[in-house]
Amino acid sequence: MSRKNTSKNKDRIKRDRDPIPWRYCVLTLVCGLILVVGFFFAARQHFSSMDFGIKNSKLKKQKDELEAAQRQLLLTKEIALSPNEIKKAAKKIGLTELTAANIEVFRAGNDEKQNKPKIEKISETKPVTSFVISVADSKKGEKQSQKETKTEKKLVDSKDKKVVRETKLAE
Amino acid sequence: MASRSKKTKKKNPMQTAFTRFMLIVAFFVLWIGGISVRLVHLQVNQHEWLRGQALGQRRDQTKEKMLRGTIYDRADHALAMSVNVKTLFADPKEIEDLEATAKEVAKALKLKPNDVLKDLREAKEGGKRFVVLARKLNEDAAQKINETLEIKDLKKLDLPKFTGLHWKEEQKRSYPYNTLAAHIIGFSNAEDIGSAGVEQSQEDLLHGTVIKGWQDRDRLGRVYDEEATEERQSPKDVVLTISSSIQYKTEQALEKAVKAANAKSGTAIVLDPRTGEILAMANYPTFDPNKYNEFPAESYTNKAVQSMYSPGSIFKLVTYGAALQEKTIIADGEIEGKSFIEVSGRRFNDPHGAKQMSYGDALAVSSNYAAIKTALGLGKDRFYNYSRKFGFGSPTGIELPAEANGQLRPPQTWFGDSLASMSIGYELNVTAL
Repeated sequence: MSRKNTSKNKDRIKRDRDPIPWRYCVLTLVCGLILVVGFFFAARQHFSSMDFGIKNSKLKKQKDELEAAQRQLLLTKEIALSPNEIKKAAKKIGLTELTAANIEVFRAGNDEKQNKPKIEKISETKPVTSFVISVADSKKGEKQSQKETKTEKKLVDSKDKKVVRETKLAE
Repeated sequence: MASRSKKTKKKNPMQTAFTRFMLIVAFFVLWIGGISVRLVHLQVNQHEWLRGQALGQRRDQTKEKMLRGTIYDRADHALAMSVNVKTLFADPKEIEDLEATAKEVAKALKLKPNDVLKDLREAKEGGKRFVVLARKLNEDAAQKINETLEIKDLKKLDLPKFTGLHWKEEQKRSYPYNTLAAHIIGFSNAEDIGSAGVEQSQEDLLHGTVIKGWQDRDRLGRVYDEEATEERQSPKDVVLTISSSIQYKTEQALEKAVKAANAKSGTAIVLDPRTGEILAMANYPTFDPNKYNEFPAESYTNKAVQSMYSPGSIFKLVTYGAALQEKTIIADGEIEGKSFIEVSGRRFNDPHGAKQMSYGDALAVSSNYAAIKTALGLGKDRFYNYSRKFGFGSPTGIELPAEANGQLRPPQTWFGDSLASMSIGYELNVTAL
């Protein structure tokens, strides 16, 4: 049963091999490489999109929190601007309420100026009982900040007008 | 024979290799076949169930309620606005040591430990998973509680880092000016539904819709993808013609006047005569919409538009106006006055009418005789038509709920003296507006 495989015999054995040109090997290697790189790239894209998603959601949450904080500040500001709060603050710093006596003292000094007739322009518009001026889109903080700017502008304008009126009175 | 049998037993090595190879192939075929069958079973037969399980692990359904719209006065001062608040609740199913939890929570919220423990125990026994511990707290208060209740070693995704405790996002309606213009603004109830005033009448615009959506979380609980399944429609803000400073002055003056007259209640309205815009509308007594529960329901009534009364002599304007338009009197005309007039057996006295006077003077001194005579000259139908044209007997259409129509009966239902009564402002009802 023992086999007699001498080295001579081995040399004699000739096996037929498919002739695979070396360029096929290279092509296979390149394709494999492209596939691996593709997988790697796709995985990277996937994890990077996950990462961006997490960052995005964190930023969104932060934005919501900041908007909520802004609304809270606006509310605090409005509370501080309410007549009752202003009254309290005025009392705290020692201001007294306007009384008839106070008005008399003021008039005595400015009698001529005060008695000047004021002419106001009267517009001809049809009276209609109305209540709601306008309805605007609510965009949380953005709208609020825009309104803030608008109000501030109005306040500045009214101050300017006041200055002009006072100047005219002085003249 | 022996050598022959040996020969037959001798196997062909190629055949042996082939057999082995086939065995290996069979093994692999069976193996892959088994896997394939299992995969088909999982992905076809159990597809829906497994998909649900997978989504359940990573996906949360979200419900976000948008903040209710803001109500502004004409100078853009916010009269009513909503802010985000948080409600702390406990899930007793997640809590093992109720006593220790109750003790810690009571300490953080300054409550009685026994009360908290009782609530938690009752909820656990009843299988409830939502026990409110602190309602509608602002961000600062919530942060303080988070700091007090923090267990550093605990691995928990959401705050507070305390087993079984969670925050729920809610919104709170605030009225920064308290009682100012309370009857105009009204209030919204605990479910954020407008229940009085502009809050009620403009509910459709102000209402914050609930946006449903979902969010995907990774194994660490971080949100990496989210989407709303419904279209976002922002609520609207409403700007009123009210001036908060005029409103404040009006309310102050009304309160003083009511107290001085020792009256039960009072109403005052300030209008811009050029445009008809309402600058102020005050009622006394009033209420604070921030704590409307503490006031009786009667105090919510906006008497300026919901209560009716007989206008009295002010209605003589309508009588003279109609007569002038119909040319039954002339503006410079004069009328012989008398101290009384009798219509259908009813006597109407006139302390100012016992002399000849112009219609202008008659209106100025509010002569009953002159007004009744003028109305009688005008006739029932024309008087009624003009009263209707002036808007009496129908609502003004103001954007406030439950506005009263007023009361102006048609001429068919009048009594003999009704025309005379109506000409001086009786037998009909109007609202203050």
